[in-house]
Amino acid sequence: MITAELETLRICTCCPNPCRRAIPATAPLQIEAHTPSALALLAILVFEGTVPFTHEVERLLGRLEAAEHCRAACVYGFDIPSLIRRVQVETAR
Amino acid sequence: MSRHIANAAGIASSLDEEQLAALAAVVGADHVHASFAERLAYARDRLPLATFRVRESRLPATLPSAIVCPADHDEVAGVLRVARNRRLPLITFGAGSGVLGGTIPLCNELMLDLKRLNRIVELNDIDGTVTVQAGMNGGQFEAALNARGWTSGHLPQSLHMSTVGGWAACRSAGQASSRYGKIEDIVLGLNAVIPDGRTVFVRAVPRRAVGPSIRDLFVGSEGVFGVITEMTLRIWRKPERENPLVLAFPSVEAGLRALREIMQSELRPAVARLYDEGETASRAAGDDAFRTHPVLCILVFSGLARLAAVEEELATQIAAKHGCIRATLAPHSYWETNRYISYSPKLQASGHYIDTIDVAGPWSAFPLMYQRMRNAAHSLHPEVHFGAHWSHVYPEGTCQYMTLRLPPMPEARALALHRQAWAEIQALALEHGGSISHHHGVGMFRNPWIGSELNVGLDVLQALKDALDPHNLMNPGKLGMRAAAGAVAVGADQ
Repeated sequence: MITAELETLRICTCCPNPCRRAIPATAPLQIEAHTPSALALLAILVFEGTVPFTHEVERLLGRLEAAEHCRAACVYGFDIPSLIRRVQVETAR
Repeated sequence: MSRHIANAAGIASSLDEEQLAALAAVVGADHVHASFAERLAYARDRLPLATFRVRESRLPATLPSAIVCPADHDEVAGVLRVARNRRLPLITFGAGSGVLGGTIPLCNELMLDLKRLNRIVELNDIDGTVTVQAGMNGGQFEAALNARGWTSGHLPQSLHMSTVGGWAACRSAGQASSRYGKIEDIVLGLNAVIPDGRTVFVRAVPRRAVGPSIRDLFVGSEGVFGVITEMTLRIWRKPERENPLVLAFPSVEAGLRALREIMQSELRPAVARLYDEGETASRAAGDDAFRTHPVLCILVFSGLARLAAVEEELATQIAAKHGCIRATLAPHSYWETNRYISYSPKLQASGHYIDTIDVAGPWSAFPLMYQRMRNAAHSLHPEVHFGAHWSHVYPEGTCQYMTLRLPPMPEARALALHRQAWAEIQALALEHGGSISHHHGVGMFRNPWIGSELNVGLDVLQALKDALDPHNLMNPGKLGMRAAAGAVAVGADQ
């Protein structure tokens, strides 16, 4: 059902985040776990059942502020935050 | 030993409450991260072998124990004192764009993420220098300089996905290095914290003659001797003119001879890139010049308009002697548009095995070194893709940058071929009098060959490491240094 979304997220997991230049230097947290690539990997692992969908994981997958900044800078034109939200919804089902 | 991520998902940080509290006392509780999901994001960098592992839902090696994010130099020093007092191994982390595994935790190291140290401290437009914190994003740094009429001249493909400190720690080279120099030519001074928490301050001066360069102990040290927190770099006025020139050569040999003569004639193109036939085909399709002259060369001359024009004219004359013809500027436009993009993610995601290998060699080693490396790659598998280009040119030699791609196949078979390719190409670089690495560094993946490259020099580095870091806490097992007790090898569970 969400095969295409997962394929796009897989590409993101293999990407070294050139989009990270769009994350403001003033953002209070500057951690890898908030980058699109890390969130994409986590979303896939949770959807596949490799990683349990705990509150901690759900909370992290909701931290999309940095990824939202990155959206316009994605060299492939992907909308990673929207895909992560969609996969999360499917996972929750 | 299985390293499936599912087996790691429930494992808590190896740090106890006292250790986490001690770190929080330095940087604040909001800047210590120890959850599984946060640690997972630091279990890899961009080492292709790590990507191969992660796409199979496996950890490349171990999870870090925690992530700590200091805000300034003093907090970095504080973290190092906490780590030393509690014997916590530690890895300094910028943006994780390295491709040799230099920041992969091998024994549950603590990750010291410097991205909060991300501002320009001072731009001195009399001296033409800038002082910048180590964690600043490269793209943001260059944009800030450009806004004030300057450039660092250091423009690696990883510009937007790396940090300024990472450039120095890994001894990187930018795409305009033939004119502006590599990072070791650009760093004038620095602040670094050594493992006991003290600060080494190398004042930024044009040059000094006071013994071996302490600066160079840290530039290229990959975090094994200490943590660079701030640097002063040489910067340049943005060039008045950039003149691109696209040439088509009849052969790789002719192109290499032309580049050698251009550099030995004391011309300094900002960009000089020569592509073998395989790489030319994908960059110059549709241009008739390449039907008969299948080797692409992109040159850019920059600086004052008159200077750029003269250099372009002289280089054109030299190149013509080697049988080239002029082509359209389309390949340059394509390169300029895509120069900061990684080409591999889509293919990696579809199951291909892609890696890049950078070596350096003297002009006298070419073209034989290239031919033997290409033959070694092609003998691996009938569907292997091997392409090479030469950039970062010097009067005495050049960097050869190779892309190796294997089709989807059973992982064990692919990884064996991948290891074989690396072993043969690294051995050939040494056999031909070259270097195993031009600018990607060592990380952990090049450990098997660094002894052959440095010979007794590796013992010298280890002796320095033992003196500075007697408990082997700073990025252990990288740059050919001794691994920590209990460290695991990347990919050992394949």
